[in-house]
Amino acid sequence: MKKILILMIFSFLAVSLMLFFMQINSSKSSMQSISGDYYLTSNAKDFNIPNVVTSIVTQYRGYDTIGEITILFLSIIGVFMLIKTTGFSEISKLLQEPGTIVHTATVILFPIIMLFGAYIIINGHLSPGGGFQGGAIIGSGMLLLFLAGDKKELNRTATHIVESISVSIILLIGLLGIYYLNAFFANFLYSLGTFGSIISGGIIPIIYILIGVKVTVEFFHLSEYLLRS
Amino acid sequence: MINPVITIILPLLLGFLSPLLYKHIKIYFKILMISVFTFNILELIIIIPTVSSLPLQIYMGNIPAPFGIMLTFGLTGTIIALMVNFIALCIVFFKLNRNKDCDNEMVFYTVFPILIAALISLANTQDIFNIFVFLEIVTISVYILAGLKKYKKTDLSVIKFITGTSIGALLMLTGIAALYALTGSLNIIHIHSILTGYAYFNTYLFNIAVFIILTGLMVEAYMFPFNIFVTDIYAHTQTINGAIYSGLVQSIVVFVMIKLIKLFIINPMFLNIMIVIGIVTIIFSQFSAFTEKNIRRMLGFSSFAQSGLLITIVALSLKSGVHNELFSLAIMMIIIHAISKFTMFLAADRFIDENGNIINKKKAGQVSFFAFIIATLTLVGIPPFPGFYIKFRIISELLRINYPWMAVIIVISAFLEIIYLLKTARKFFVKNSTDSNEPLISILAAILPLLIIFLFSVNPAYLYRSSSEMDFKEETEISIQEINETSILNEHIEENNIEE
Amino acid sequence: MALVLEILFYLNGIILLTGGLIIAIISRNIIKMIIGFVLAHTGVNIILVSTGYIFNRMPPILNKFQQTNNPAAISVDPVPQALVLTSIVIGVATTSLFMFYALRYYRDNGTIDRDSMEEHND
Repeated sequence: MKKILILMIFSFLAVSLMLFFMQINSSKSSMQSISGDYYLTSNAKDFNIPNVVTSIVTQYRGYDTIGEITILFLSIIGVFMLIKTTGFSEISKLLQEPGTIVHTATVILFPIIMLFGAYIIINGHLSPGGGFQGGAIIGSGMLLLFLAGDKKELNRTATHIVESISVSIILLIGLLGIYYLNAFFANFLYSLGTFGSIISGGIIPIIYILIGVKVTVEFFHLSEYLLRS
Repeated sequence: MINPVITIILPLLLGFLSPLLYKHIKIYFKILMISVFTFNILELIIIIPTVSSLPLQIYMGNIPAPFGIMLTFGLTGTIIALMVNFIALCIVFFKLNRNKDCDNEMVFYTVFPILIAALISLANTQDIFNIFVFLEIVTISVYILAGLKKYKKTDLSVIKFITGTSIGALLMLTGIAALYALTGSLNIIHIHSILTGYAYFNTYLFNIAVFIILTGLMVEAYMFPFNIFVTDIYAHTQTINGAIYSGLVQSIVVFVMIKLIKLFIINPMFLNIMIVIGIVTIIFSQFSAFTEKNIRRMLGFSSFAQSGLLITIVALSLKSGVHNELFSLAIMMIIIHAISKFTMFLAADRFIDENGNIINKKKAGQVSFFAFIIATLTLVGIPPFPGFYIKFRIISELLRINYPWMAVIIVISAFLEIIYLLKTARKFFVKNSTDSNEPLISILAAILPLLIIFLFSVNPAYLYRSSSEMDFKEETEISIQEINETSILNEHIEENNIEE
Repeated sequence: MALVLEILFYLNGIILLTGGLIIAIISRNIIKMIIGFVLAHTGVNIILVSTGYIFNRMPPILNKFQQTNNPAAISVDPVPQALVLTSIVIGVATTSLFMFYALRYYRDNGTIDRDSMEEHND
């Protein structure tokens, strides 16, 4: 009875959503939205970088990104707390000993993955990519180290320091925006560099590199906690 | 005057630095936290005269209004932010000399300031996606705070809570996607002006989008069918979580709902849904609280009843069409309810055990007793205290705009509340031997809210003056005018009209 | 063609969303609940990113010339792509916390059934 009720409610939701989006699609396909129009047209004169999504994430809607990194930070703190109260037991012992293939492949692949991730982070404002994507790549590349049987204990204090400092610097850059232009997260370096070079777009690459560092550390933390808990 | 965004950034920075600093400079870190909250309170008090004449619009990153994220420090938002900071200060005072309360103290001092920053931001933001992100910060903080001290059923209650809030968040995100597809904007005021200004928007599409957002918010605010998920988190976690959740989080979620009423007001159907759900919530919660033995769960149910009451009142106020003060009275009620409810939780912490029963032998201080009784009397609305003044004015306004049945419901629920809350208060007198062995600093947590309550009860004119200054419609209209002045927007709309 | 493609995107997202939510609510096994929420979140993300899709347009990475000559007519809507980035991160955070709570629950009770405790208590 309860299940049938739930099924009915959700199929109603699905049908109404489907009707909604079909109608929307036929009425205003091939029309740019108001905000999208504004961002695309004013991006060239505001920030002077090719990737419009990056300028939305870090500048036009930068405050959301602050919230986003706060959420990642909180989740790591929460996981840390839960692990401490649960206590560690070596799940990693249950993992199979890595064979020669995994071990050798890690040695070859790991530097390439790191390099690729760093490229994605640094070129976030020029090509598809950015701090979150690159950080996720490097973080999961580090997962390979565990699979290849690296038993070294992580220095937790060091990673906590890196995490805290990178987020705090992002906030301080935002506060500098208040100091120079009286608006939080304002791009006070926007005139720097030429279109399409690495150093352009003012504070955007700096923010994205810091986010990349932070996301790397946190993904690494998450996988490490899951494997060693 | 300093940019009021600083009141959000400072606690956030404090939270981020906590894993770095807390281990080394414990006591100084706590002092730092107290000074940050005190600074916030002073800053917000300083901006009140400016804000009460014209809401302060803050554009994040210097992006013009509907496109960037805009925070509006209006009178309402500022007062709610002030309340949040005040409660946060009291909770820090309370927490100062209780080191054994949670298994990992650093986590508390990291999560708590971030939660406060998110709440202040939620009270003032005007961007619907930003509301979603910061609501997620708030709920994730609650997940962590709830798990800090492990009792027998803590994990299960948190898992239930995560289930409920995740459903709410997913629905809300779907609704935001639908609303964005419909209007192409994320700013609440802008969406409101688009939907009211241009008739070619298909109404049934709009109804579906807003209905999904409303459902998501109802789940997040735990209106009637969903509050079964969340009462466990009151019952099976620390009492201080009850203070945080009921005093801070629930008030702000209700306030966000009141803020989003700019969307719901377009179709009276949504107001009707809010009224029906609100009334069912009031009745269900008050009767559940009446039969409940566990004190924490009882106080939790009482909070749900208050949220239902507030939502109903606001919906009625906007539905009636007659000019009335119900909206501003509802805001004042949020404040009085939050202050008295968190005082009750903190005071009750001294004399209940982990199952929510009253302990016989534990020493309970006289100040805690006194605080609990005064807060109870304020909440139920006994004459000298400000709760009475607000309830009286609400009832008389309801009678004036011809909703006598709602006045009857409020009176009945107030009677139920009086019975079960005073029954609890009586038990303390019977069972406990009083002992004034409390450390001075944690007494501050009980005395500060009492001072506020006394201030309001000596001179309700404070309440009245600030409530009559807050007018929902004026605040909205000013902001809409400012946004419409943005030339780019107007050009775009003209272009679109030509295309059509 | 364009319309069919877009409707397929939306259909995909909506089926994932509602199916995931149904799994999350109906099943008693906590791990299945987590899987349901992950599916539902993916569904919402697909819906969100589809709202910005416009048939036969470029991705919003444009050179100087394109940006100064009516970019709104040649590019898709960039906003949902930025929103989806935020949404994905939020999903990761919630899922990880959920998983660790499930882990702690399992350690203490030896079960991942969310109703098993209520039967012999309360």
